[in-house]
Amino acid sequence: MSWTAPIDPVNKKPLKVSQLCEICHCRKAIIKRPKNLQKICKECFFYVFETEIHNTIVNNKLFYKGERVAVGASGGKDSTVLCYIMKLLNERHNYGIDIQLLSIDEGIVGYRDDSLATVKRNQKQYGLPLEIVSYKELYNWTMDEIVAVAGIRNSCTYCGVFRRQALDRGAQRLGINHIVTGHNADDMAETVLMNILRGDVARLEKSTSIITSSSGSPIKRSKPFKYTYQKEIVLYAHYKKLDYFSTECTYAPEAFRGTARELMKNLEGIRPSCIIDIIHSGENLVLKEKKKRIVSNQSEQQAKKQFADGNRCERCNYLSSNKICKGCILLEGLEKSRASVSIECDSANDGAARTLRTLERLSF
Amino acid sequence: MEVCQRCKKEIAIIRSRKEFFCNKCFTKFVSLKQRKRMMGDEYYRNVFKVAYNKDGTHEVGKVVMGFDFQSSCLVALDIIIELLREQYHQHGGRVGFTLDIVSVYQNNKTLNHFKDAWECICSSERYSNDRILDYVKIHFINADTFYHKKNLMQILVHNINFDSMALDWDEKYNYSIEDLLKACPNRNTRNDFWNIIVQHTVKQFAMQTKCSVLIWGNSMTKLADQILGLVIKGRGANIAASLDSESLDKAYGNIFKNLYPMKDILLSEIDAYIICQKMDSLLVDYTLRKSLIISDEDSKKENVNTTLIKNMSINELVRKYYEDMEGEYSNIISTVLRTGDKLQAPTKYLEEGTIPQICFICSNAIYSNPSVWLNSITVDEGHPIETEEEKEYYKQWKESKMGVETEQYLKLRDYIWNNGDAVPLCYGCTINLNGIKGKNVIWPRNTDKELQDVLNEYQINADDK
Repeated sequence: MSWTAPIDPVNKKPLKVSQLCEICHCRKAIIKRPKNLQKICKECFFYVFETEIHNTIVNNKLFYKGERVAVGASGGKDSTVLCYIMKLLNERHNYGIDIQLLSIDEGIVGYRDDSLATVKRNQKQYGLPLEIVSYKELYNWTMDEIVAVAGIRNSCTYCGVFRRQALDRGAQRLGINHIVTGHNADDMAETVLMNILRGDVARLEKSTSIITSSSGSPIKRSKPFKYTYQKEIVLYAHYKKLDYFSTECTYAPEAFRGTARELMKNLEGIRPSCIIDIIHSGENLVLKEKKKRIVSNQSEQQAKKQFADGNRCERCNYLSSNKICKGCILLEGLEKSRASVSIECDSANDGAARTLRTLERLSF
Repeated sequence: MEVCQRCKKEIAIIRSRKEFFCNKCFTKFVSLKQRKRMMGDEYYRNVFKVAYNKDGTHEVGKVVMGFDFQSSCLVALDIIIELLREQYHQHGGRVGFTLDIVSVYQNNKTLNHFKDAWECICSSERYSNDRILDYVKIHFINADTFYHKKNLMQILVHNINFDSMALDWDEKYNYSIEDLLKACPNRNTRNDFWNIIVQHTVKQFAMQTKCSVLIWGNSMTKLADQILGLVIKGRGANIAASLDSESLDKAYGNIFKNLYPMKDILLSEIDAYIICQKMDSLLVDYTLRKSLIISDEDSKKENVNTTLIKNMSINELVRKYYEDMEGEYSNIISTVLRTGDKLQAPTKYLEEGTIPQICFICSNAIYSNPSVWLNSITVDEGHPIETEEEKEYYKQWKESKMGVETEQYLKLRDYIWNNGDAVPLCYGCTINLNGIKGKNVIWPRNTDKELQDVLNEYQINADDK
């Protein structure tokens, strides 16, 4: 599929003072920054957008010279901008890091195959090496097959657990210990709200961490877009004419997350700074220390054995706080439901995305 | 027709928490929840119960309550009066405590509403048959006392580095609450400042009267609104302090504790209590929710909030979210409150041995410097001017009204930066000020003596005409 960048509209009418950028006061404002509603020009927008991400990287010491970094690339706007900006900032500020693209093929016909095509184009555009890891080769299941067995409502549960493992395994395969993901400020704020609304105190304190890692695992993850609004990422991709895949995953988003997303959207309408404000709150949420329970020596030892951070799964050797990791438990359930006989070249399991793409390509 | 699941005799008229109640059992259910909070802890028990000394004399506790004539406060008062009445009868005319009610009003219209409503309460059959209201005294305080006869400061936020400085405000220029609220760019900032002022005035009154307990009539629903509202406004660090009923209020001289006796009761239950007890005529500007009343089929239609989302405040939007979620995720309000209760002040972010600074505006503790944080994530410099055309546009802007306004701000900023003092502001207040035109606000420099003088002069008691 070939891709052509859109052309900027040309308007040579003299500008009114009220149309000027609120930062430089000398060029036409074309963007209202969602972060603070400041009206700014394209040049200032590029400057503040790139500098803010650079500041986040430097202030949080995300990288060290010579580090090998895998950028999680899905072909979507967040990861495409991430790939572009990581390469740009690495060259501009001489971070000295070695960037590689890492993609996960969940096996969603009509959705992921198209987005992976975008990643492959990005690979050529930015000249970065690409590694693709598929659910099929790791788990012998595609997401389409999983949805056919487990239903669409649970799709995010399976996909979330498997993708996390797949990214780690992909990084391990490349011998890389640092994965950079395109999680943005909106995702962060949404997670803080969700954890409060469903009382998930175990995750509450860590929900705004910019670097996460598990003890016992050499692989860490970081989020350079922690303070970057999703809308600004979209605007940046648009004005930089980046080549990205803009379709949302066709499987249903988690119902509860959907309600938190809706609340955030409404909040943003009345207080645009709320996303950053929620992240600020999230960084300051600290749990009271738990009262120590008196337990017998035997049960204490047993508990230590079962729930220690850094444990390994008995089946797949992946990190797990329990004997068997969540991925293996999910796979076990799936295997029980797998049909014992299947038709060769059967496309019945291909999900809604396939049908949608077929319909889109129809012409009369 | 369902039968009450508690007494198993009467016909149920209310359904709450998946249980059917008759009028009497529901009243008892709500009342016991409040009393449990009032008597559960030793400190509060000692204040509220009738305690005798060895010589037969008895101590009378002093309690203050913030009162807004809304359903939660009215129900809290009703249950407290019932407790006083019980104590009076059981202990031969003795009660464990006296109650001072404080209502803060913004203008004469509100004052008149409040006075009328209080007269209704005093003359209602419910309270006028005995002399129990002798132990309850109401005080109406004008919110403008917040500014009167005090040293005022002009606080300004720096447009680039978000630091805040303040300078004495010239006394010849009067300043009022109305001026402050007019300067606010939206309902959120207005509500935020108004709540800070009301809370400060009530707490100062409590401090002045040296009471032991300050009661807030906030329902579980309102507290859950507050928790999420604080998170959304960037004030998450203050959640623990805002729910703290275990320690003495440090910011107000360690004299009283803040108690939330309605913490275990949903707002819909409070409203149902009002309907059961036929107290609706005593409310001021309040629409009751009838969602728990079994016979009221149309209640849901009545309670639909018709305000446009863009006109709502954050707390109203959060309330709407809870209401929308009530069907599918029924325990969301109690979950949020439980989560809030598990939080503590983020003192771990302070350098060892240091104590947190106090925000000049909201008096909350500051655990991390907001200007440092905002500076680290925001860039306010742009791409340089490059062409002749751009230079010409910049010149035009500088000479325009917008350029002059910015110039005025910069002059004021430089003046305050050269002559003023640094004042600590929390993140929430910095963001509020940053949104105000001119990025400044007039705020009093509080001293205890000043406030006591003002209260003595401006406080109106119910008997004053």
